[in-house]
Amino acid sequence: MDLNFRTMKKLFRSFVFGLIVGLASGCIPDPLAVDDIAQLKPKIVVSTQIVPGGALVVLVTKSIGALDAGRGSDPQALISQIALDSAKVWLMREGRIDSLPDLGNGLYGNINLDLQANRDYTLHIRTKELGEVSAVAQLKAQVPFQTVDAKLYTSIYDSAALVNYSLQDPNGPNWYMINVQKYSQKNDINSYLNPRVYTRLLRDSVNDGKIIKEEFRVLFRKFSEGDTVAVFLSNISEEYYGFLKLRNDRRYNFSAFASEPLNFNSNVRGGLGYFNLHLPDGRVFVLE
Amino acid sequence: MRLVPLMLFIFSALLGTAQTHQLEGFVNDSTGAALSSAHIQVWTPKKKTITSGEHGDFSLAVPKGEIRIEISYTGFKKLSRSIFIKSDTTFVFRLESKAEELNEVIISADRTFQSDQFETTRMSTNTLSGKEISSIPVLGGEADLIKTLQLMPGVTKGADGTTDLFVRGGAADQNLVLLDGAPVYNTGHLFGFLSVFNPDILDKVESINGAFPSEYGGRLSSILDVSSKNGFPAKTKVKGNVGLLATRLMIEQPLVKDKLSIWVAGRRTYVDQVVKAVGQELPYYFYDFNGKILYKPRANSRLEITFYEGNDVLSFANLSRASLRNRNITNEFTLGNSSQTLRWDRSYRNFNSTLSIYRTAFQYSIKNTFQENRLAVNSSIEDIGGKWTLATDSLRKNVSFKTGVELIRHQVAPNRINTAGEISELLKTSSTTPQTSYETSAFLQADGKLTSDLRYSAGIRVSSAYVDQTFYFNPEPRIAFRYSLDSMTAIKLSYSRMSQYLHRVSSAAVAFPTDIWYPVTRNVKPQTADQIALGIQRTLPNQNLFVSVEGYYKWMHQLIGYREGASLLLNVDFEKQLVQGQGRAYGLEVLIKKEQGKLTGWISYTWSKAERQYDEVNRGEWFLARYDRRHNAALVVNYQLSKRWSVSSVFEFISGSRFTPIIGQYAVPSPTLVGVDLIPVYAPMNSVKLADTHRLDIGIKFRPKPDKKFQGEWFAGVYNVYNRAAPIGVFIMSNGDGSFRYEQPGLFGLLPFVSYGFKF
Repeated sequence: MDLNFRTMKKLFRSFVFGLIVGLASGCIPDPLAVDDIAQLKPKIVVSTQIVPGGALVVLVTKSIGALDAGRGSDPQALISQIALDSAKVWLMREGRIDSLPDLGNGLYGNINLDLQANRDYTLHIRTKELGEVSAVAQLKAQVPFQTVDAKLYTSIYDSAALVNYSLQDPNGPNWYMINVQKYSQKNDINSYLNPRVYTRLLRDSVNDGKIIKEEFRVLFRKFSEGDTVAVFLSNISEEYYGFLKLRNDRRYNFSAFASEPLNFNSNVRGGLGYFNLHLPDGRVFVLE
Repeated sequence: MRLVPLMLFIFSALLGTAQTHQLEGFVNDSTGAALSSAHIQVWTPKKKTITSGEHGDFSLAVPKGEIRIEISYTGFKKLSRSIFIKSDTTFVFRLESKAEELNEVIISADRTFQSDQFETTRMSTNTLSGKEISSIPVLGGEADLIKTLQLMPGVTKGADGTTDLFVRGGAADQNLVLLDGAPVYNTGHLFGFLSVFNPDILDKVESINGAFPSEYGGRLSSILDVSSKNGFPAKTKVKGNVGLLATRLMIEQPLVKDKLSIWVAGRRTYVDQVVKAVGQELPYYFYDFNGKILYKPRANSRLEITFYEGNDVLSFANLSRASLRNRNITNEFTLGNSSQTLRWDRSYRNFNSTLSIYRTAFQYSIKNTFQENRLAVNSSIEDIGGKWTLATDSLRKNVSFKTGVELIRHQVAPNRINTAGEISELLKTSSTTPQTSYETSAFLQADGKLTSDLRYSAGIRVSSAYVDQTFYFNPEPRIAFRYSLDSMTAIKLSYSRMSQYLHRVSSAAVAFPTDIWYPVTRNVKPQTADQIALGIQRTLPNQNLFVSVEGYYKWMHQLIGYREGASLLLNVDFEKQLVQGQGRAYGLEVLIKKEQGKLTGWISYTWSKAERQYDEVNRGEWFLARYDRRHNAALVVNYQLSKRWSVSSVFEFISGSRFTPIIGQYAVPSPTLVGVDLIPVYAPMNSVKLADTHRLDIGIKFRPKPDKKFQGEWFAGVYNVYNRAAPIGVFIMSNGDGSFRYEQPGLFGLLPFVSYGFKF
C-alpha cells in the first residue's frame, strides 16, 4: 500500500489522539457500591388547590425512598404508588367543619365550601397508614390582572413568549406568583413528571398600593406561532412565597450541585408539602 | 520606623555589653548554602546555647579571650573549634556532610529535617524538603508539595486529587499559605488538581499546625510557609523536567560571587500543544513563572526580591471550529496569582532585623458569549503588606527575644457581574460591595530555659482588623514548653490562640476556583480558635529516626458556615447566606520519619474527630464536619538501590469523608397543575460516611550517568496501582430499567506516568 506523507500524518494523529482518549477514559475507576444509607421513614405529603367557585382539592400522598422513582419513571405508576386513599380529610374555620370526600388517586375535594378571604383555615388529615397531620393557612384575597397579554418574541437565535401585565397592588405587603404554561395538543405523559412550568415570583415591597406593570420573557423554552399559553396570577402568603423561591433557586441541576443540601420547609405539622390557599386569575392566549 | 531606635535602646539597656565583644558567624554546608537552626554551643567558659537564623547567621556577646564553639546539625559532622576573641569578629563555619563517610550510597543532601524541631519547643510542625517532595510518585508524575503534605499527620485532603488542605478539623480556608512571606490565595492549577508551586524552586516547606510562634497569625488552622531557594550558587546551574502534564526549567546564575545572584523558573502545561499536534484543539493551559534576586552587599546585610506569576487560561475564543464561530459562542476563563516580595535582612550587633514588603493578588475573569447573551464576571483580591521583625540571641542569660509588627491592606472586589441578553433576566448585572480592610498585628516572643531540662517559648500576638467603620481586636497568647526526659526524648506542651479576619466564601460541598475571599464585616465577626497540644518526641540518631506522638484539642469560635440550601455561586449577596457557630476537633497523631540513609520515608497515622454547630443548620444540633475523616494513615518509602536506581512507594488509607445524600423524595403538583415535581429529602447533615479510600502508588528512578556534569533522571511509575475509586459523593444512578441505585464514583484511577529530569 502506498502511504504518502499526508496519510501517514493523519494516521499518526488519529493513533495519538486515540491513545490519549483511551488512556484518559480507561483510567476512571469503577464506582463503589453503597449499602449503608438509611431509608426515609414515610410521611404524609399535602398539596392543595382552590378551584374558583368555592371548591378545594387536596392531594394526599406519602413520601418515598430516593431510589423508588426518578427521571424516566412512569408517572401513573408513581401516583398509584404514593397516593393515600381512604383517609379522613376535613377543613376547620372558627368551629365550622367541612369534610372533603375521597375522589380517588389520593385526591379529596369539596365544591361547597364557604371560603372567605383573610380567614385562617385548619386542614386535618387522618390516615390508617401514617397517622394524622394538620396545617393552618390563611386564604389570600384574589388579586386579578388589570391587563395581561402574551405574544411571540423572536430573535435571530431564539423564540420566546413575551408576557406583559399590570395589576393593582392592594395596600399592605403582598407576594405574587405568576405562572406561564404552554399547552400542547400532543400531551406527552412523560412531561407530567417535573414539568417545566415557568414561575415568576414578585413582592410589592417597593410598589405597595400602586399599579405594578412588568414585561418579561419566558426563557429557555421553545415557543412558536400558534402555541397556546396560559398565564396565571396568584396572591400568595409570605411563607409559600419563601417555599417557592427556594424551589425556583434550585430548579437547575447545577445549582443544586453547587449549593448546600436543603430540606424544604413545610407548614404541615408532622408531614411534608404545603397547605396553601390562593385563588389564581388565569388567561389563555394563542401566540402570534 | 521610630520604633526601631526605641527597641534597640530597650534591648541594649537589657543587654549590658560593656565588657564584651561581638561574635558573629554564619553556618554553611560545604557548598556555601546556609544551614538554618544549627545547634551552636559556646563555652566562655560558661556554656551558652543558641541556634542559627534562617540564613545560617548567629550573633552573641562573648568576653575577651579564648572560647570554645561547637556546632552540630543533623546530617553533618559536628564541628568543634577554639577561637581567641580580642575584638568584634565574624566567622564563617562550613560543616561537612556525613554523606561523604558512606560508600555507594547517595544520601539526601537536603538541609531541612523534621528532626530539627526536636531541640526546640516547636511541635505540631511538618517539615518537607524539595528533595522529599520530588522523590515520591504523585498524580501525573508532577511533584507536588501539597499532595505530599497531605500524607503527613494532622492534614486531611478534600475531594480526590484536589489541593485543599483540612488541618486538625479546620476548613480549607483556615490555612495561611505563604510563598517567601507573601500569601497565596489560590493554591491550585488545573481547577485545583495540581498545586501552584513549581517543585524546582522549593527550598523548605513547613506546615505549622499548632504551637504557633507568635510571629504567625491570620488563620485558624495552619501556616504553610514555603521558602524558595535562597543560596548563592558558585556557578551557573540549570535544572529542568519534562513530564506528562507540564514541563519546567530553572536557571540559577551568579552575577557577583557570593554577593549577587539571580534565578528564574518557569513551568507550563503543554497538553494543549500535544493535542494541537494531532489536529485537535484543547483550549486550556496553565503556567507559572518564578524569579528571585539575591544580593548580599555586606556580611551582615542581605536583600531578596521575589517574583511569582501563575495563570490558568481556558479560552474557546481562539478555537478555529466553525460551528462555534457561527453560533457566536466564545468562552474565556482566566484565573491567577501574582506576588512580589522585597525582603531585607540586617544584623546589628546582637540583633537581626528582617523587613519584608509584599504585594500579592488573586483574580479571575470570565467572559462568555452565547448567541445574543453576554456574561462577564470579574473578581479580585489584592494585599499590600509589610512585616518587620527584630530578633536577638542571648539578650539575657539563656533567653532570646523576637518582636515585630505586621500591617496588611486587603482590597477585595468580588463578583462584579455584567450580563446582557436573555441571561440578564436570570442573572442581573450586579456586584458585591468592594471592601478595603486593614489587618494589623504586633507580637513579642521570648524563648529560654527555666531549668537545664525545661525550655519555654512564651509569646503574645495582638491582632486587629478595621473594616467598614468597624474595629475588631483580639489578643492571642501563645506558650510552649519542652521538657527533656533524656538526651533523646522530650515532652512538649503548647497552647495557642489564633484569629482570622478573612475567609473564603465557598460551598462546603464543592470548592470552585471562582470562590471569593472576603473580610469580616459589621455582621460577620472574626473567627478564633484555641488549641492545646501535648506530645512526646524522640530521636534515634543511630537509626536516623525521628518519632513524634501528639494529641490535640481545638475549640473554634464564630466559625463561618452556610445556611441550608445556600447557593454561593456568583451570588453577590452572599453575606445573608453566612452563619456563625462553633466547632471542636481533637485527635492523636503519630509520625515516624527516617530522613537519611538508603531507606528514607515516613509512617504517619492520625485519629481525629471534627464537629460543627450552627443554630441555623441541622436544627441547631452538632454534626460531623464534611472532612471529618477518622483514620488517616500513610506509608511513604524511598529506597536507594544503587547510585543509579531508586524506588519509591506511597500507600495511603483515609476514612471516607462525610456526605449528605438524598434519602427520599415526595411529589407536589406543579403550580399550574400540569404535572408533579419531585422534591428531594436529604439525610441529616453529613450523616453518611463515604467509602474508605486507599491507594498504592509506585515509582522507579533511573540516573544514567550520576557522576557526570550533566545528570539526567528518568522517573516512571503508576498512580493508584489497583485502580480503586476515591469517592467524591453518593449519587443516584438509573439502572436503565426504571429502577435506581446509589453509587460512589471516584475521579482518578490507575494512571501511569513518566518524566525526565535533568540538571547541570
